Amino acid sequence: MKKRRKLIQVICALLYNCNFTGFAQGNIYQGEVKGVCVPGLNCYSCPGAIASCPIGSLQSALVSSKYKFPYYVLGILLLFGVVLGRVICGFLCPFGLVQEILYKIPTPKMKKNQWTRRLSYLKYVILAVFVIGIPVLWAAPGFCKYICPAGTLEGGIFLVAMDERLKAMTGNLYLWKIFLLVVVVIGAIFIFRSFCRFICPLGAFYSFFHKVAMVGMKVDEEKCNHCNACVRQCKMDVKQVGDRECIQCGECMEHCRQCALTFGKK
Amino acid sequence: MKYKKLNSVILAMALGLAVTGCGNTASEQAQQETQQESQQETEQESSQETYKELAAGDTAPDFTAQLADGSSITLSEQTDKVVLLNFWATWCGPCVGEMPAFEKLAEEYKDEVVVLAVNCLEDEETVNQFIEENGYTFSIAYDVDGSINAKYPTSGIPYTLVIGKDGVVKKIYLGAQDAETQYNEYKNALEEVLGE
Repeated sequence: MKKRRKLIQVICALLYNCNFTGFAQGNIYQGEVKGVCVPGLNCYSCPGAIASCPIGSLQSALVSSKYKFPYYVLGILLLFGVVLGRVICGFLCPFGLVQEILYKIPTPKMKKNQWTRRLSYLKYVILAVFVIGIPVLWAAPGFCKYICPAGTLEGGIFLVAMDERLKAMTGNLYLWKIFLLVVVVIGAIFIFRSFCRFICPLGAFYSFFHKVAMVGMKVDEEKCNHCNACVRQCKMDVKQVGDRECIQCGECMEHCRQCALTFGKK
Repeated sequence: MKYKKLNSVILAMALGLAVTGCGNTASEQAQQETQQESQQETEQESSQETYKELAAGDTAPDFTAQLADGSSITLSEQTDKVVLLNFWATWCGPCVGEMPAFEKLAEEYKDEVVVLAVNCLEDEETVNQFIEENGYTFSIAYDVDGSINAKYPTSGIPYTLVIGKDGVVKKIYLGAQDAETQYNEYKNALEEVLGE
């Protein structure tokens, strides 16, 4: 399961960003596929990106929502949510993969506790304020503009480094975004998937579907003896397998002596 | 199990929305295609070329744009006027923010400059609603199928070019600050190019 998941994550990251010539030329692919959203957090402005980021598209659509109802992006987000839910976080998100790789750096790690659990609510605030509130009220893509470290990493650094005109436009906002990226990178080294747990509005959105998603972790109540090994071993802020904080990665299966956990169609 | 029903409801809703979203663009595109059939011969020739990002000194690629007020405009016919060509979208905050600058410039330089804002691939209804709401009177063009945008590749919008009477690109701007800053910026550029 672990290896298969890693393989799927890597394939996804490459597939989302397979416009390899973009990296050499420092420009953005703008073909027809760009009108489609990928399920994971992957910046539209990554030179390799062949499709769009759902959370970025949602903000753009909300900015002009008074002229046009955002049918497509709401539909596709609901579809991703109801079919896969946070399976997307565990399997199909390149920025999740990046954080998991950073966590492999051998350092003392900070375990989950009541504070990380409380902090996990922050992502819902970010979803409400930066992804919905600011775009609708002030016509700016709040999350992309002020927060998203995936955008800074994939798009911001590359494009600015390769385009003099963009370099000339950078100022305090750019410095702020670089600072945030550094914080998120350092955070991910010491705290497992800290961006996903505390900040990611896309994960927050998909978490609403934890009860209805068609695919994910299942607990066989007849086999389960409620030893709680699954929850104790899990590095996310879960209270039970498959709740809103669960990214459906399936690592708990290795720790279940009762073999009560399975991954598949719910 | 009890969530199965809710699941189906959301699934149906999601598919409905997504398909409506796609359907919109598909039908609009079809509409656009029939509209453009008359222009197709000339369009086809040029659409086979691939366009590189422009630099000052390049010849501006020619196009004919359908304006929101019902008329049309051809770039190569503007031999006695300087053209301030802008690319924008309703979802682009900085684009919308600098629009008052274009309105003011179009009024001030009525006889010497054509201010033309070409929309980026949004449907006509969206553009019409935007113009109505903001009351702009300068030339705003549709580009539903992106054929004009394709001739002016850019990594981002707002993207604004000053094109001389000789059809040569004089200045290029990527991004925008507030309307007042942009007004001064473009005004200086127009004065310079008009004085040439």
